[in-house]
Amino acid sequence: MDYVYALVTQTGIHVLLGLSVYTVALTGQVSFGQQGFYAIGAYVSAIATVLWGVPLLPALLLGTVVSAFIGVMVGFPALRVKGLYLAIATFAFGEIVRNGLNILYVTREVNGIEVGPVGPEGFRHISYFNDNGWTAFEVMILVVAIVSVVLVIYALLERSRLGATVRAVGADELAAATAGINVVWIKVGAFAIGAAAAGLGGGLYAHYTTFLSPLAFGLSVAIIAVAYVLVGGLGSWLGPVAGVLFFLVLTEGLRFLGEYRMMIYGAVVVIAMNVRPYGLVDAKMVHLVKNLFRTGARGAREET
Amino acid sequence: MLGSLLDGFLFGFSYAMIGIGFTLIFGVMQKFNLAQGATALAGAYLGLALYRLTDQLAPSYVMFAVAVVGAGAIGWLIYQICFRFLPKEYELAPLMSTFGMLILIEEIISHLTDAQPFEFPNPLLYGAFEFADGEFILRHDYLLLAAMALAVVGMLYYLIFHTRLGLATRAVSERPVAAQLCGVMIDRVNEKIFILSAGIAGATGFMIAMTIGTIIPGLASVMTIKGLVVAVFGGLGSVPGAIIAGLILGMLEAGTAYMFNATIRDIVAYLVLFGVLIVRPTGLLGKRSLYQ
Repeated sequence: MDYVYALVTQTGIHVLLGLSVYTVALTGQVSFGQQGFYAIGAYVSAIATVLWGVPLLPALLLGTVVSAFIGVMVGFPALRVKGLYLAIATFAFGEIVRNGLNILYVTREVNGIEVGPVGPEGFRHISYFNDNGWTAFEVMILVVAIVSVVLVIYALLERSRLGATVRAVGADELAAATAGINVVWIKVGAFAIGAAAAGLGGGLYAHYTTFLSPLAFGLSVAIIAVAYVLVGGLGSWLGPVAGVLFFLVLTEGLRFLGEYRMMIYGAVVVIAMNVRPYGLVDAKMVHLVKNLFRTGARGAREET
Repeated sequence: MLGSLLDGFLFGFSYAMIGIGFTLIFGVMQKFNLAQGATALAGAYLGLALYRLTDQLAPSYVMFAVAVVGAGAIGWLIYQICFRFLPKEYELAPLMSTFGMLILIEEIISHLTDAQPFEFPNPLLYGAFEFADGEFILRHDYLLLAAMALAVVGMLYYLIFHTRLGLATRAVSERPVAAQLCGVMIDRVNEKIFILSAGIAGATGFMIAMTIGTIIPGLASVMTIKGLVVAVFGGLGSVPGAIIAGLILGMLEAGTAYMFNATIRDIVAYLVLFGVLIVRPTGLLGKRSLYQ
């Protein structure tokens, strides 16, 4: 059963990572730097619980807020840069964070052991769950609860005026600005929300794995986070969730292939993009499903 | 210090060449090919395979030719699989398909070589010009690398400004629709530019493997990142920009690595990239109209 608990927990954390890229992508930008916010959230909340003895939820909140704040600080200058240029600029940010963690030394003695991040050796003994006697099942419930709350917020926001505004900016900045939308505010806001989602995911990740290493926040995380969104689709918040599930099934389902696993993994991604270039849950599919629910099958047929 | 800067400058030509591969493709298609590093590496491995299959008899220039031609062929395949059937106006889809390709090629190479590093023959090993009692050392293989980069640039210049393909390329990169109306087959031009840039990647991969002396599958993603950074830093679509950016990056890395360590080197390199993009959102020599 522990295997299932671990899978669900990891999936929840990765959904947050996917949502973080998704939020930025809604404004028409791709960020390869969300793993930087993921790392910041992880380190900040872990430092809070381990070094300062803060309880878990305030620590997670702190990691989320710090990530969002840095998101605003980075977002303002960075969003001058557009398209694939922004993808590289944000990747540069992520690498700056990762390399910064390599020279981060904040250690302190707690209960007789030296704890805290030790540069490239990483951050050990993030034992909040263990110290407080949480079982793997309880950890899973916590992650599922937090992720569900976040997903409900996303679902509500998407149906709101704000959601429409964000999509308008993504579709055509100039037209959105003409319609009186403050484009800069929306873009920086989306960047900050995305950073917050990644920071929250990072905090959960830190306490779940109990050990952080700067190596865990490199290019592979950046690309997989973007892959969740691009393979999953940008049509709705279900897109990144579908993307995470797709890759989950792929990595777990291909285990029997042994050493050929990654090879097939690469090939499946190539094929997936050829079959559904706009992702699994694209705008067209969202439209189709919405019509089905709105007016029944007859309405959908009339539309086509 | 000056010696390491000089090394960095010369090695920067390899960065410049990878960057050129990215910038050429972006120039005509406005897309990235993340598998470029894998193409370069695959080319180098093909050259090495020939060397090992012929009991180490194959001379380096034949290996080089195999690397270039092999990489060109792989590039053609990547174009067919990852670009041809994807929507033209959506630049994010090929980002993922070529990422899948990067993993696929890297994994195939790992599998065939058991993920072991291989020694790469370097006929110019230890050859160097020395100046001022060994204060400055010019390695022969670095000089060859620089010479090759200059030759590639010269060839590109001729190709782009003095041939029909070049004319078509410039037309497609400036006004794709108008070019099509004038009878330019955009798919054909893209395909040719793709093969060209893959061939350049193969040459680069070969030279990098030769100067480093060993070759490992992990080099593929490293080369892709360096190429992206250089192409974006210099301005996408601009060949001179990629060269300047490659040389600056080479010197910056060598200088900071000499003064501090590898971590500081990477922080400085990415800070400079980030700063340059904020001040000039389209890179050093990028055209504003291209993307914005």
